[in-house]
Amino acid sequence: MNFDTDVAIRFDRVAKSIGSTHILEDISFTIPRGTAFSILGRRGTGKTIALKLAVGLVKPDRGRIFINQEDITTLDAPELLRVRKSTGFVFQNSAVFDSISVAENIAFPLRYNSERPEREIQERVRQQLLEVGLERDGDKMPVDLSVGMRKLLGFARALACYPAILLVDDPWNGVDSITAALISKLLLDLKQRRRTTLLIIDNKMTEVRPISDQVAILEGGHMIACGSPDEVAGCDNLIVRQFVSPEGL
Amino acid sequence: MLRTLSTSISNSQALSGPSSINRLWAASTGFIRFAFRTSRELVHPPWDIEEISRQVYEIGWRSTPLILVAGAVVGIVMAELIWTALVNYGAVDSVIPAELSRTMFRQMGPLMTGILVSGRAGAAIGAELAVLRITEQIDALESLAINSFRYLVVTRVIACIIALPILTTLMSFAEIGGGFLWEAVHSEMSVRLYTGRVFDNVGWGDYILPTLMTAVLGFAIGTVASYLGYTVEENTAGVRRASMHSVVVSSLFVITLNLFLNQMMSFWFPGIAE
Repeated sequence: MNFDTDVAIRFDRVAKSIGSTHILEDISFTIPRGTAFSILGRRGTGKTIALKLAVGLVKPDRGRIFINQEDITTLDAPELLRVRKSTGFVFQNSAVFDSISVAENIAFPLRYNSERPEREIQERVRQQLLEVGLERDGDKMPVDLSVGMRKLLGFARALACYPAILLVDDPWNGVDSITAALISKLLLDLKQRRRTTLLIIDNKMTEVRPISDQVAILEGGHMIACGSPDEVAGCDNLIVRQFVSPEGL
Repeated sequence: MLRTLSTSISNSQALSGPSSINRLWAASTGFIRFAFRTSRELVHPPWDIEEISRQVYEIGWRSTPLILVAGAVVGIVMAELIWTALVNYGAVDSVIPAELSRTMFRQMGPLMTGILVSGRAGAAIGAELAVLRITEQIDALESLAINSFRYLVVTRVIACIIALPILTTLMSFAEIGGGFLWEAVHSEMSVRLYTGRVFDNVGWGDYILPTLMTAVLGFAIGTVASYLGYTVEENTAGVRRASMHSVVVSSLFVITLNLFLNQMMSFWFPGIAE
């Protein structure tokens, strides 16, 4: 079967249950390379599971998931690791390594996954710290950072190896407005300048709208709307309307 | 009081129902698969030497004070016990060093080291991996294309396999040292005489085989603790359970394996058992 080589991520009728609870049912979408796709939904609608499915951290019960035309549902563990070298993942709670310093967090994937000389690694770490505004915090331990700074560290670590695809879980959750603006700018910059494919999970249309090329709304494990931000904004469904303009209802 | 009672009732119901049998079965088969995977990956390079060294430091070097102190105390207690048991047969002071060294090298050294390491390192490994799991740091490793099983589990198990024989040697000598302290106080035996008698009836076989056997105990401690931490349920109570069960289950493994391996040694190498 041939797929468009310009497709970075494709979900094909994906379903996932945990115990007797159906988390996701028949989820299908396609993300072209270099574009941003956002999934909105209330808490507990399976958004994070969808993101973990996309990188093979969770196996689907049914359906297929393609990353760069490769069906990751059929891959074994070493092959999955190979595919993950082209992706980055920013976790909702940052999931930074708390036993090593901020700079070491960024250097860790570089040391483990590449043969780069130490001088080059240190230069890359410095660039990443500068990019997320943590240039003065390299020697700190993650426990000494605020929630927003940890989130930025999560970005810096995920971007250290120049991933072509970035998966971001709830990036604006619990951060101050300045950090939120910095995150928005970073995501927009990644899409426009580096042509990074973005899959973003969030619960506010206002946050994802300036960045996203496509938006999908998840409700009860089903995708109830999917399209450009304008198309979704024009949808009559009550739940979709709540995400688009919660103040107006 | 009411809450304690209701908790104990719900616990007893949980333990007696068919679902607890299913859970036990699932945990047992899960552990067997985990142990097989660990054994398979242990023998395949590349090994993360830096992380293994760090774990040997954490599990081995940092257990040394505990091992030395516990060993000396056990040595004193064992010397007292041997003296009490043999005092009516005469010439007991000359027998104590030889009996002590045979007992320590063959039985007490490996067993005590295994139990102490499962208490100290087993709990630490179980709790650490459980915290890494619930804070999604294991998922983060995987998302960075790092094999979390090799990085976290294999390195810790290898460190336990390396550390246990070394710690057992230290424990055995600390026990013999403790025995000397007892002798020095009770019979004013000289160090030279004591050392000579300690090694009178002990051959290399008494030391090498039982000490190498502790590598198996190291594998058991590392694998049990890693399994319980790596596969923890994702909540805070899971961390407590992983830590507690790591100590309980790995201690039981150590005691049972020690008995089993000693019986096997007696069967395959009868000369040593005499």
